[in-house]
Amino acid sequence: MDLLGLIIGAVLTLMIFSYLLRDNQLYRWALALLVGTASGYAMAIAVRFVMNEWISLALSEPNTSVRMIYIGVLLMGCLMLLKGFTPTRFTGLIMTLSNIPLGYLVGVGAAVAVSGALMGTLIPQVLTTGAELTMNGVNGLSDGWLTLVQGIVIALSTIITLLSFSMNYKRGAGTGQEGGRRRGDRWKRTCRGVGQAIIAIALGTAFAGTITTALTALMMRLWYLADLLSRWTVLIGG
Amino acid sequence: MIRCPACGTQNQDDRRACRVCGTALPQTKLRCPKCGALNSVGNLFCDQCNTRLVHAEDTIPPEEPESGEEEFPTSAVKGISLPSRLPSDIAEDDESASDSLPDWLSGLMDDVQPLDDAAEDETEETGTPSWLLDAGLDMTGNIEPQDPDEIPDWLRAGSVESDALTDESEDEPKALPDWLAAMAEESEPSLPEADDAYPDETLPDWLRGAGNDRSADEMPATADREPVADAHYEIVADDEAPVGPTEDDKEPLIFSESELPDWLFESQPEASQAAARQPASPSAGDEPADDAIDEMDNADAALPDWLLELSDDTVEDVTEDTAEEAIEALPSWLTELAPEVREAEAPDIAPAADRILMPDDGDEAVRLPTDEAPSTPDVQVSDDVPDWLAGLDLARTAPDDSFTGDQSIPAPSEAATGDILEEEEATAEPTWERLTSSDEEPAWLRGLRAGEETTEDTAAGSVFLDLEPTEAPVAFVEDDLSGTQPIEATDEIPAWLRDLDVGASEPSVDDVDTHDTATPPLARAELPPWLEELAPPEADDTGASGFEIHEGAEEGARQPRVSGSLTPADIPDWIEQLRPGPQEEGQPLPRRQMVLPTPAEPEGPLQGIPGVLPSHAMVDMATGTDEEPAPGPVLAPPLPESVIAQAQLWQQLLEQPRSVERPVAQQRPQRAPHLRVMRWIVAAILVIGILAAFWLVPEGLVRSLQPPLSAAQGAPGTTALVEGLDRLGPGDTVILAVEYTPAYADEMSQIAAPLLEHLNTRDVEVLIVSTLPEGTGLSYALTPQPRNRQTLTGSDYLAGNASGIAAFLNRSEAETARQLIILASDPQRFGWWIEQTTLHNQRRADAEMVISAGVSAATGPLVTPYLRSDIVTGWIAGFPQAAMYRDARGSGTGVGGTSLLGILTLAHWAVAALLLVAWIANLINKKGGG
Repeated sequence: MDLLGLIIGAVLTLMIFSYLLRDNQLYRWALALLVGTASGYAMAIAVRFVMNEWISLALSEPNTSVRMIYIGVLLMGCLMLLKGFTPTRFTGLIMTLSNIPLGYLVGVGAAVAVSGALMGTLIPQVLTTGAELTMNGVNGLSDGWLTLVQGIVIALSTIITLLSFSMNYKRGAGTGQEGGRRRGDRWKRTCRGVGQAIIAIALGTAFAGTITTALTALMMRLWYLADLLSRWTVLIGG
Repeated sequence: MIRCPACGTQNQDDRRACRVCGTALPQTKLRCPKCGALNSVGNLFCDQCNTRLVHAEDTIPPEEPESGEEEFPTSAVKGISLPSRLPSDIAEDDESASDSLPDWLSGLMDDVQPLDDAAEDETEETGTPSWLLDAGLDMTGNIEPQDPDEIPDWLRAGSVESDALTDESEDEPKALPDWLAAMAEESEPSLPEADDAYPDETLPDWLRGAGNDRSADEMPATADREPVADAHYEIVADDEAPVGPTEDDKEPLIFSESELPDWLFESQPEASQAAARQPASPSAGDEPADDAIDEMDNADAALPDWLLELSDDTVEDVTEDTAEEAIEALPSWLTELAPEVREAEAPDIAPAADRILMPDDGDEAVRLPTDEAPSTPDVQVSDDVPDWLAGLDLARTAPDDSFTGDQSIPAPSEAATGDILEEEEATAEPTWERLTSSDEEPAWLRGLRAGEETTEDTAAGSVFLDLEPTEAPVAFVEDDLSGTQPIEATDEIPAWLRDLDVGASEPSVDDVDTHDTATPPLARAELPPWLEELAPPEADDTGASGFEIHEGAEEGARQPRVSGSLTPADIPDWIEQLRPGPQEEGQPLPRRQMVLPTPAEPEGPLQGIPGVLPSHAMVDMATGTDEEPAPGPVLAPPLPESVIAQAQLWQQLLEQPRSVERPVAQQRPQRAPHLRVMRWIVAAILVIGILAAFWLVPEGLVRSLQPPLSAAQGAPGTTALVEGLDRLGPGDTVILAVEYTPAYADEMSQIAAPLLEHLNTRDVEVLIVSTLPEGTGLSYALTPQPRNRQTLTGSDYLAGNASGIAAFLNRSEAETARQLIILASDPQRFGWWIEQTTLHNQRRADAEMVISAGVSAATGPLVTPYLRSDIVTGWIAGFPQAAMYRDARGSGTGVGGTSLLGILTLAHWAVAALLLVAWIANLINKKGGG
């Protein structure tokens, strides 16, 4: 059974690799199989979760009041299904009822997300950015000045990158505006350029990680094939 | 823009003069003084602001009808609409009309008292025409002559029994004669034509002035009509005006009942009526009754002079000379109108008054019609025919030329107009001859009597009947009642008159009945050339309007054909030029014939002429084929060569058949050959490089390529992670969040493997959860599997993303967890876990959960802010750091060991090299391609 799985995996791997030549039907079949399997598995998990976690729990709740709450919540979930209907003369009023649970979800999600983003993202990252501005050696750097320079660079890069998204200046306004263009717009253009450069470096770094991930996946697949081939060879060769 | 006609300069639309030469420009636009918008020249108000552009005084105010405008008197007889004139207009035109009127007629008009209010009121009340009022008669029957002597006897008879001719009188005519009643019953539209065709000057005097006993409805519609001035009429001065008999002197005239219209007959005294009822003697040579003669003589004494003159002439022995003299004395218009008498073929119709005497210029009145016998065997005059009526020459011709009554006569307007009479005046030498029988009577007169009997067939106002143009000219001779020999036609009779083929036979009743009721037949008159051109085409054989080619007609006069075909119309010269002429073979068509290929007219006056529209140089024309050549000449427009080339190219493109073998949706675009080669080269490098790392490159070389970096330098989070996991003890709960998709399963499994091995060595309980549905399934593919794996009640799937995480952290299972290890390939989900866990830790200040992370190489740079912060304690980003983690723990090399790491290193070098080569090639191509 493991061997059969290996073989199927190898075949599917080769079918995906066939895209290197050109788009073909084998690649599409393998891709459709992967997408379909994942979607099907996800649907099964979701349905089992809803059935087991919510419906059965709601119905098996001994406390009536709690049960009613569960049932109320389930009904609100059912109202969400009305969002899938096409607005017509008859379904227009019904579709407005689905806005109630939708609004509740959006509100709760926004509350959770905002609080978490504030406490878990913004504040910690701001503090981290400023934490490098110290003479104490951090992040493996023993020299305080190097740490400070590193911290300054990080802080300035962060600030300049954020400012580059809000910098707007006039382009080529013609005679009479040349003076203003020289003074007011120069530092804006500089800030914008530096910010774009930093963003480019960050994106390059991200691209490098993406290449690493892709090469890792390729390597692992080839290793898999090689391993299978060696096993077949051993099996055939005895 | 307006182009100056002088210098050709373009000027603005609102300029009045050229800005260069000052020439006045045609105004094409009007500028609004208020808003400045340009408006069309014809606008009175601005289109934009509605400001008046043209001053009110500059515009011609529309004519408004006057409130007190006098109205045209309407016809008292229903169905009759005779041309009418306002009394004021009549008074105004008196002077102008009097100059052209004959003396005898002008004399009558002078006697007409101006219509004062009383007269007008009287006229309006009674509806009596002014001319009749002059005679002292009104429609109410009251005879109030201004001058009793002016009223002729025949007109003085009886009282007029009539209703008031008022506008309110809309009743049917009560006592209309048949012929006049027929006019009323026929269509109204025809009546005006008939009325217009029969102006006063065309009616005989006895008819025009008669009607003393007619009812109001029987009177003509225009009661106030006045005889239109005619050159052939003479207005007699007051002192010359014939003095009609007074009422006391009035003696009845004797007419035959069938001869006279009812209205006229009724006006006669009873004795006269009784005598008139005696059958007339249509045969030639009958002696008129002595009584009638005496009565006529008595009546003559009361007639106006002008009428007496004519009548005296008829009493005298008519000889050729006298007849000729009499004819010469007649006005030309009268002689022209006098039809030629032919032998009567239908003696059924009782002879009407055969004597028609028209007053001539300066002549005295013609004797009234009498019933004297015709002077000649051929031309007979009934005893009842007045003298003046008998004066018409009805010289007989061949019996075949008798009047049949089938031929229609053109509208009187065409046959008898003042202009026509004027033209023929000089040539006419009328002679009078008594009409002795109905056969000799004029056709128009015959028609009158026929109309009396047939009320339906006689057209309105028809006086003239169908007449056959005669070959011989009609001679008007003055005949007496003694029946002298008729005077033959002379050469002096105009040609148009000769054309009138007045049949000798009288129209029978049946013939009359067959007439078209629309229009009465008229005697054909000689028309001037300009009028002949406009003459309508000859009608069919039903007898509507008939023209026959007659001899003796003036040259150049249009010769209408007999019914059955259209009269050829004169084709203008400019169209005639377009008629294709004889073309020689091989000779190109003349330029004027190069028209659009429209088919030539197959018939008609434009037969043979193709379309006359001028051809346009840019119009494409059919060239035809060899089998079917173009219907007409083909133009060769002078098109430029570029246009011709483009047209030919389009034609070639359209002629090319579309390839059926090439499905557009499926076929991929053709790539350049060098691009295909590059794709193969890249694929080969990747495959060879990877394989070579396994079998071709020695192990030492692989190791030498690895950077000599320590784990602390290469992976700063690896050490903290190792230390954090080392602090775990047995029974501790570690939450493992699987947040990656199957696509990242190979890499993440390499990252998760050393962590799981470490956790297994620490003998902790691992709770695997995921916000992805497939995450829990992927957790079962991890190797090694956690030794102490815990599961949540229900499912390990956390629905709701961040809310699900928050809800999970509030559960009891999460309350006891000491560390959270996040295995994520998605930065967003990683952030959700970080955020919610941070919030959870803030609520649980005493027992915070340590957060560790294991992310893919792609996710690492994106989540570095989280990793660099104090929130995350230890992390692994990518396969290389995972290898370092193993090295740091000293747990071995894992699956593939260093080989995989070497291969990954070589792959990185290969990719870097490819990127460098592509960048250099892009620079080269960019510079070269521009």
